[in-house]
Amino acid sequence: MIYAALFFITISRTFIPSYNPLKLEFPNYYPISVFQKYSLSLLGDYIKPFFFYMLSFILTATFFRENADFNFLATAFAYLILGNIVRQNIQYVIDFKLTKNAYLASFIAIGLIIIASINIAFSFLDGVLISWLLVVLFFLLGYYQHYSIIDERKSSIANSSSKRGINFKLIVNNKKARMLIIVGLFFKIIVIVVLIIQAYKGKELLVDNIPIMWLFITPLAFFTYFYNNIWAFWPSLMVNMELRNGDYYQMIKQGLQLMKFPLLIDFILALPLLYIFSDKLVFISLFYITSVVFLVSFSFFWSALLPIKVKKVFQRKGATNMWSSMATMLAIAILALMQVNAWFYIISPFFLAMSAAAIWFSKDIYRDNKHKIYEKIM
Amino acid sequence: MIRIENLEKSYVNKLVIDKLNLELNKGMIYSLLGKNGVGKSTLINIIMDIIPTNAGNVFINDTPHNEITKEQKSKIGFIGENLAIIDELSGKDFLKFIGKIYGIANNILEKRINDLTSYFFENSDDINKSISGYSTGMRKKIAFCAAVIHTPEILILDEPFSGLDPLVANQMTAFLQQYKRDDRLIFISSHDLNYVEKIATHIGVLDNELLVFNASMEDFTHNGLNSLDNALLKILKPNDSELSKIDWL
Repeated sequence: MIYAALFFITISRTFIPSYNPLKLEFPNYYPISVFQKYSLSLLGDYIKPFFFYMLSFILTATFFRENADFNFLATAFAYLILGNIVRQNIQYVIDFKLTKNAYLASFIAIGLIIIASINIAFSFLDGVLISWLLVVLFFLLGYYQHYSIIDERKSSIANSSSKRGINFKLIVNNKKARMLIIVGLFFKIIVIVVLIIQAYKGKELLVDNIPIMWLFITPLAFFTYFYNNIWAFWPSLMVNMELRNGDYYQMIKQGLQLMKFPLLIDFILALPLLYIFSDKLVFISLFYITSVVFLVSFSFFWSALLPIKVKKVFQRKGATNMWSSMATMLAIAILALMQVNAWFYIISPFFLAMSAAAIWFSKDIYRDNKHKIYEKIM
Repeated sequence: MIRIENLEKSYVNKLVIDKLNLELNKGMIYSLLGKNGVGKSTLINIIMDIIPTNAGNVFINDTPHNEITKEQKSKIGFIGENLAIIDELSGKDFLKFIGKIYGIANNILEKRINDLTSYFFENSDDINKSISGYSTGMRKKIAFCAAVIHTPEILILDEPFSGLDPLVANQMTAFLQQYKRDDRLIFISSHDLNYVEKIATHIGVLDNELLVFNASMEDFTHNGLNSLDNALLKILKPNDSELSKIDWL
């Protein structure tokens, strides 16, 4: 647990309370090699109070352990270093435009991150050796990513000759939305792999039915974190559509386009779980479909009814209205009652009807609230 | 084309526009002048139904502005104070996106984008760069291209020349001169009298919540006897007496 805490706390420094873009200490023109630029930047990162505190914590923990040993110290230290390297690896993908090979390497690394997570959480593999091996691997990956940066920051490049569609660009070039999607999907991958490994090893699947609920964590997070206030994340998009033709249903269609990619990826990632929980296929399918339809429809309702201004991804009062998040979570919890008794399956058509009503009413609410929405989101 | 009746607007008990009546017809290039903060942008935002009124009515082609149909709305082109350009896209993608909202056919859209961008953008690569990296002038240019790409009947421009270098500002005035037609209305709010003088057919002056002048350009300048800024200064009466009190100059 200590290893996992060290690893994830170090990674989370970048994302909590708000995203801090990766700073390159040595600009391109600086007369040292790429390897030196990368390694010196990384080294400089460790000369920060955070690492001093963490190192003190590791040393203290080592001395207070009943069997204080070098293995624990070396492994804990490795995960502290690894956490920071992986943090940077993730940031290279988020912040910079890299070569195709570097992206490929980064995605392979995601697989390694997952293995590392499992290693940390379940100690399947021997600690010291594997942890230091991972440090070396991710260090080399970081160097390769640094080497593969194509000049500018990703946000300043949006080449129209790219075959990627406009909707895809609207998502990946929106820093706030992009970050939340990456974090959401990252955690989903970890959860899924943990569950797959458990199933493979024939262990009891966490606590009875709880793992099934993990299937819905990412979509729920997407909506409670930003889609329930969708227009505030793409204010200019909404204003353009309103001013240029004012067709509300076209706005909804555009909103759906913005949800399509993340939900599709989430769905693909969730597919292996259908195999694991094949005995509960009916429940999972019904729950997944109903909850996604419900979340999507109500996101337009909440976006029109309770808009709030979004300055940062993680702002103190949240990026969506608190009441909308609570109502959404409550609704999904009620929907989960289907798992308790088959009679509760009757909730599903009721939720689908409510979803249709939410879309219908959101049009009127949007018309009545239009000026307030502009005022809040612009 | 645009009719405003007894319009009133206030912000937190501060009256900005008081009983404004105005009729703008086809063939006009109407330029609204006035001091900073007098309510020019507010008036434009009210016409576009971005902000609510306190009283009065605004009609666009005889339909209340908040009830106009999708088709009627697509006959309006607009640059607001907040340019509402989509930073996530490149200039070209933005224009494509706008063209699709208006339902312009792909081949026509492609030609219009090429024509507009080669006229306004000296470096053809700029159009492929992300808008988030654009300068103020480039943002204004791309917003202008998006406002005219569907050849609207009503073109409403809030401060179109601000932030532009003289070369591009002149290009824009030349474009507007060519864009003017008997079946089109161009409504501009601007401080740049040099450019307004070249294109406006009618002038309105907003001061102290009221539309204090509303007539043709000829009436405003007394058939060219006064320059535009002299004519404006006669109406707005700047506070010169305070200047003499600044003895340290």
